[in-house]
Amino acid sequence: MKIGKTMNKKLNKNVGGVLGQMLAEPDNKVFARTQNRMLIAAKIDMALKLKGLSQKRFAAIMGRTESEISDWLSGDRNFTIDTLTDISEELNVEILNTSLVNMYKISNSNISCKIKSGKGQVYITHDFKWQSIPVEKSVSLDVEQKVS
Amino acid sequence: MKFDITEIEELSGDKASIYSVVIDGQDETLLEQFFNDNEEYKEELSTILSKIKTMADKTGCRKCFFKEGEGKLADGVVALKGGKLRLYGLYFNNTVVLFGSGGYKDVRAYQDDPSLNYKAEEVKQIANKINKAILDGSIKIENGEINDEDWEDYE
Repeated sequence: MKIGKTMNKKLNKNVGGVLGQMLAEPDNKVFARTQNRMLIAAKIDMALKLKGLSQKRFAAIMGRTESEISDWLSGDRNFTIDTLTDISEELNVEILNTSLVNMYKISNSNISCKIKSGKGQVYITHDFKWQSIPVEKSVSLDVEQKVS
Repeated sequence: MKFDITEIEELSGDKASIYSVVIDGQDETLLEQFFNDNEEYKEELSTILSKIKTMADKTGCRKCFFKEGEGKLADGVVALKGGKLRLYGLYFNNTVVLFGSGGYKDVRAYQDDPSLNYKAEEVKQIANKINKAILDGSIKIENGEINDEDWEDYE
């Protein structure tokens, strides 16, 4: 049986159909959840490789089965905070960032915002309402900047 | 079976290149067909699409994200899960993956579902031919890309 290429160049057509529609209008909630699950799984996988730990050995350390560890690394797992805390402690990696600094995320891109400092507080506005942001130590910010 | 390998540029990113195949005489890639055929499983498709984009843009194609052992030993055939939906593909390395087709797995083993078995076998056939072409040097996996310029007619 012959197989082979009918063309010698990559096809450059745009994707269509359901895939094209979903790319044009992605489900942002599913995307954000899936991405975070995968990034956490990737962090754990990288930590295991850096430490030279096999899944079998890691399972024994965590008191879990190998199939559970495989599930953790699949990017499908919805971890509890307690499990992530245990993994962080065991592998000595920061998986959960619980810092109160920079806890607010501004989702609108290219908006102009002002940040000013106060005693132990940082204030930020991008919609004419000053919001207080708790910080762990005093900071000095008096700039007007583009946030992207 | 004649087919073209094609990069899905809308899915590829800085961390990985995403490929699929177009069977000779068809207009759509197998990946596009997979999305069309399984339109009713919107959430599962969203999960699979999100996984592909995350690998392409952020994490690379880490092997742990795939279920292995779907084909013959070491033939590189893997499955990507979205709930019970399975997308079969061919894993090359952290930067290159080729997706074929798949379906809804509501049985213990895909072989128990004729439709799913057909899709999996189709991907295995494609994998078999690509793997042979890699061995004889007419397809090269280099610099995060599939280079198939020398792949004219493969017996």
